[in-house]
Amino acid sequence: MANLRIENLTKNFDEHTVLSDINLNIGQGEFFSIVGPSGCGKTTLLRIIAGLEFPDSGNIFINGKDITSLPPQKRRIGIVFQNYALFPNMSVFDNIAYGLRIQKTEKQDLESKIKSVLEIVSLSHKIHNSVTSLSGGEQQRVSLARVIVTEPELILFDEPLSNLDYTLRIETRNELKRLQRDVGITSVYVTHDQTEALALSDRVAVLNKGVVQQTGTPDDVYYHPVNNFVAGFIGHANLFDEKSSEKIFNVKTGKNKFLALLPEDIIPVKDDVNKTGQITEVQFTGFSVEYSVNIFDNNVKILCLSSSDTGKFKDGEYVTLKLKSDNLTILDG
Amino acid sequence: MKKLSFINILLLASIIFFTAGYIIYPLISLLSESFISQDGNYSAAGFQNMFTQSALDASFNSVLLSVITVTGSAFIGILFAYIIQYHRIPFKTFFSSVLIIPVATPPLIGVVAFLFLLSENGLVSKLMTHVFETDAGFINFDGWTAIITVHIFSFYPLFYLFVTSALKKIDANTIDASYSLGASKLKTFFNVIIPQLIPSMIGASLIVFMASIASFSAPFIFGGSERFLTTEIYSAKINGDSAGASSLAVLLMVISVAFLILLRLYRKRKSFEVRHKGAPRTFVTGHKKSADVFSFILTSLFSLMIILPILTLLYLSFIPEGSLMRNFFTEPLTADNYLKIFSEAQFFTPFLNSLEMSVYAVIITLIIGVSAAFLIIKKNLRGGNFLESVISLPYGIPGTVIALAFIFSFNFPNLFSGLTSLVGTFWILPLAYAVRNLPILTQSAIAGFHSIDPSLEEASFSLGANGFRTFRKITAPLIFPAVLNGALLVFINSIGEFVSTILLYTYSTKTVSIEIYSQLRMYNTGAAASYGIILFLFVMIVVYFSRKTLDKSVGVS
Repeated sequence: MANLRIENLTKNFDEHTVLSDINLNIGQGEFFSIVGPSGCGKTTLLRIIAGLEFPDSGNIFINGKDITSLPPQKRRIGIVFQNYALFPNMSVFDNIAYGLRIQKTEKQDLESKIKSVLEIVSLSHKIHNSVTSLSGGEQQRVSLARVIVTEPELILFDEPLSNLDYTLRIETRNELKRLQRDVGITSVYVTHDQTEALALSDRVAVLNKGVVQQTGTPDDVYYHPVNNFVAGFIGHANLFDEKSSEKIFNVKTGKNKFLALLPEDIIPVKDDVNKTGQITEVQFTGFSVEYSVNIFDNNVKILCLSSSDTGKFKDGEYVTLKLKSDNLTILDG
Repeated sequence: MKKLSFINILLLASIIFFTAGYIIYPLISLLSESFISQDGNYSAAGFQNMFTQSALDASFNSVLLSVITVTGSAFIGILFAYIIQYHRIPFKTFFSSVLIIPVATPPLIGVVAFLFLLSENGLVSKLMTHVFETDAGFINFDGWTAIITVHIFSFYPLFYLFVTSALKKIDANTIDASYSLGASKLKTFFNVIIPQLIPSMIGASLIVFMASIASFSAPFIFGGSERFLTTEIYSAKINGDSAGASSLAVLLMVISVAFLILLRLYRKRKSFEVRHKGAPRTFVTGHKKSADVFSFILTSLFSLMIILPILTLLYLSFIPEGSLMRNFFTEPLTADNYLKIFSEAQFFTPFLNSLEMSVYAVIITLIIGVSAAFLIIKKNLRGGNFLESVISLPYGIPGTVIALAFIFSFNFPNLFSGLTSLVGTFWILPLAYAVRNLPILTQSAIAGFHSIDPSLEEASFSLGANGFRTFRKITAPLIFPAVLNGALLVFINSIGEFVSTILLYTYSTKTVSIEIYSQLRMYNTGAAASYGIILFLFVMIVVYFSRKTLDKSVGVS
């Protein structure tokens, strides 16, 4: 278990800045996510932490020790890859034994360690199978077991759930969370899926264009975004400029500021008199209903429980919009 | 480029030594030989040699032959690829293995088998004489007809293989979509299927053209008075006209290398490939029963045509020696030919020679080819592209030309001939085989390295393994199938090699192919046939067992 500190880290690929002045401090046993759209630099950051790429400037510390220039095999950092990267020429047992054998583990010790880690990921019955015969979810668990068993200082996850289908993804996500709790290894998790990051993490860093936009608990980044990007990316918030927020909600933001409203924080109210807002799209997803409302040239997304009174609007109906609470997020841009 | 370790530098040095000494230097020697006149001065005589009437005739014939060969092979290859892929016929697995037999058959064996089946003194002719009791001679299988037939039968599998792999990538839903949009079968074939096959057809055409223009055995045995470049080079050299031979060799090399360059340019261009979620559906439904029956009959007849020459060879190998001119259907069959080969040292030595030379050729290509692929792909060697081009060069150089270049380069002591004259020694043969086959092995190894997901090696590093362990435990096992496949091809190509051998061998370094040829010239049909059968079976057994090994080595998709 370890603490990871990244200081002033910068990386360029030919002229093009991929990461710029990254500073992160990740505590012992913490589950930390780096989330951002594709191309934001999150995978590069992960590869630099792993030692598969090297930064142009800046330092990485594990437990206060500078590891910036250490090769990957000296770092004791495990990686769970997006495509699992199981060695196809080896069985489940040999895949998991790979790291232990490098650590020169005694034979008996090795076998008992493998057995117990396979129990943790509930794959004991597949110990001698070829890895190519496993399903995607099983391969994912073997790749996790292969890393856990070597007791690394840190585990890096590179979008490990993105190759699984929806149901399996949710299932594996829950299991991952439980495993990380039980094992307690410091984890850094990279994903473009903000729901996944919010569900799994103790803390989240939102990355865009190589710059850390905000670091905080899931609750923080969701309810208290620091800028328009975080508000839009994490909460799919609607952003209203000074004029629109005054017209629609009668809220004064101040010059060049924005009002950020989560889709679930806006209440549509039937209004056939003024006809200012009109519902242009209704998407029923079962549990909830999503509306698109056109009001003063703003396209507003609203989310309502389908069982509630506000969940019954039809396409083309006229509405005005109200605020659910007075606790407003005003952003600089 | 990554940093090179001491071992990497050692590997690089041996690659450079090999390519400089055995590819570049011989070609330079050949070029300079063609521009040096008898008195040792540079002259344009060699250049003029390329434009004599006979040289022009030979070039024209060689090119014409290759064009016809490409057209015929394309027709046959595409036809059977389509039938096997899309028609419902019984024994499909059997047919698909029979259809590729000619790929593994040494060219000389194919030629001899056809000769024994169809020539004036061949089995069909004899059979007719025997049955109808007339004089032989109404079958006249030689000249252009014979060469073209043998060429098409030898080279169509290249089209078959290329097109089959392209057909496998076509999503059958695109064909169904075309039908459902109202297109007829014919329209669908030409507008949907053919366009998706064009890249592979271009590749196969270039390769078959190169193989055909470099072909020696068929023109040599059946050519008669017709001039072809390869045979003209051979006869010029045998008649002591080194300058003439080298001029023609340069001419042949220029044509062939031009096609190699085209091939490499074409390979650089990406073919269009649609990304599918999951594997594309490849089975097409809805064929008329009659079409399937017709395909079945066609495939059966054609397979018979492939097997028949080999069966002839088998039959003749049991005919007593010296009975060719007699009516051998009445003579008892005997295993004497085989017994002689296995009991008498002078008849068995050619096998040992071929075997030994092929093994050395495989070892040399393995060392040079795998190291080169490793440095080019894994270490991003600076100048890797250039190195790969130089290594690929022999692929475009006919065996006759390589042999000639070797003679000019190593008939006096120098650094690369081990400070002695290599000509006439044992070693010149495996070296020539290695040079000819280096491109194949290198390309297989490159494909092997490419097929490894980089995250596997990264996973190994992150689990604490160093570079050497990662190579030994992860990289090497994963490239093994591709490299084994390449090594196998090198072995098969070397063990029956005839084209360059006939210019480089001496009595003590005779190979099987040379022995077959000399028995043939002495009209020892039975002996030639039994050598041919042993070689054929040997190659097939090697192919069979390595397939099994390949199937067993797990999970590299």
